[in-house]
Amino acid sequence: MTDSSVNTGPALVSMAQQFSGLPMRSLIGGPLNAAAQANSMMAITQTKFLLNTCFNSTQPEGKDKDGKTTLTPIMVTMQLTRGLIDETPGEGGKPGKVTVEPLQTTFELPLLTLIPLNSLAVTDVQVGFDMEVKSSYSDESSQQSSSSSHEQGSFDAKIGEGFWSVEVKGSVSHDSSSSSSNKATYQKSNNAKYTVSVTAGQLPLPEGVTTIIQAYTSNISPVTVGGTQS
Amino acid sequence: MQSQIQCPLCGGSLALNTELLLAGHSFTCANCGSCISLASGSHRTVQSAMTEFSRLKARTGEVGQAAQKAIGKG
Repeated sequence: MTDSSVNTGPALVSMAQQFSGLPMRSLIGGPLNAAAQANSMMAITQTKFLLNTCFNSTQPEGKDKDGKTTLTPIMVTMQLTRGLIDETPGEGGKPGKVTVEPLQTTFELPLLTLIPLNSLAVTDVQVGFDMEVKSSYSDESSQQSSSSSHEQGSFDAKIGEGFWSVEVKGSVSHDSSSSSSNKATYQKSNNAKYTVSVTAGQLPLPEGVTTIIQAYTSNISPVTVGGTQS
Repeated sequence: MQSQIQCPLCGGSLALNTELLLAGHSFTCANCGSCISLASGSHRTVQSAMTEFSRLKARTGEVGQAAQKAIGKG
């Protein structure tokens, strides 16, 4: 005899309940807040770098505490070489001699314009959250029963003698055995993966800084080395 | 790492690479043909500023770490 049945078992895990407890505000908002704070920190650091590295600060003289610090841009000397055409008139109707001589001049350039000061900041924050809740129950009951008993008996009887005689022989046997098995399985698994990807890169300079740099660069004027007229 | 300046002679746009300037390269204006390089006297000033700028850029890694800390708090 074989009997197999699947029991519905205990109620499965409520998916809605599993997800409702997630701190979504801190999961998503946390990294974004951190990125914003980091951006703010980077902006302050860059401003300090710009003021400390590219400018000379001059403290006001005397004990005037209300005096403002003057910032003067640090200038870098650049060399400019260009060809100077020199034409010597020819004698006796002969064509003149044209020579091209390199003329070297220098000009001052603010250090600020040579530093590739693109704003460094967080450009991309990706928050990924994968959660998998698995719940399954299976109850398999298998009952197999077989009985086996062994009994054996025999008899032998004889009545009469000679021609009239009856002989009866008999035997009885009985086998029985019994076995049973029961199997129940319950599986439950939770799997959560949380990834935050932060990308920092360079952004275009703020308009104000660009304007300052343009003002400096548009006022570059070369100075001829050695007093040669250009 | 390119910076753009105006050519002091013709006013044309001139792209300069600061690292190449430090390496001794010169850049030619496409408009007037003048050649611009870094004077030797200013080499140290620019080199020092670029070193500081490299340190500043390296701090971008700290941005990611700050975000990762926030995850732990959440």
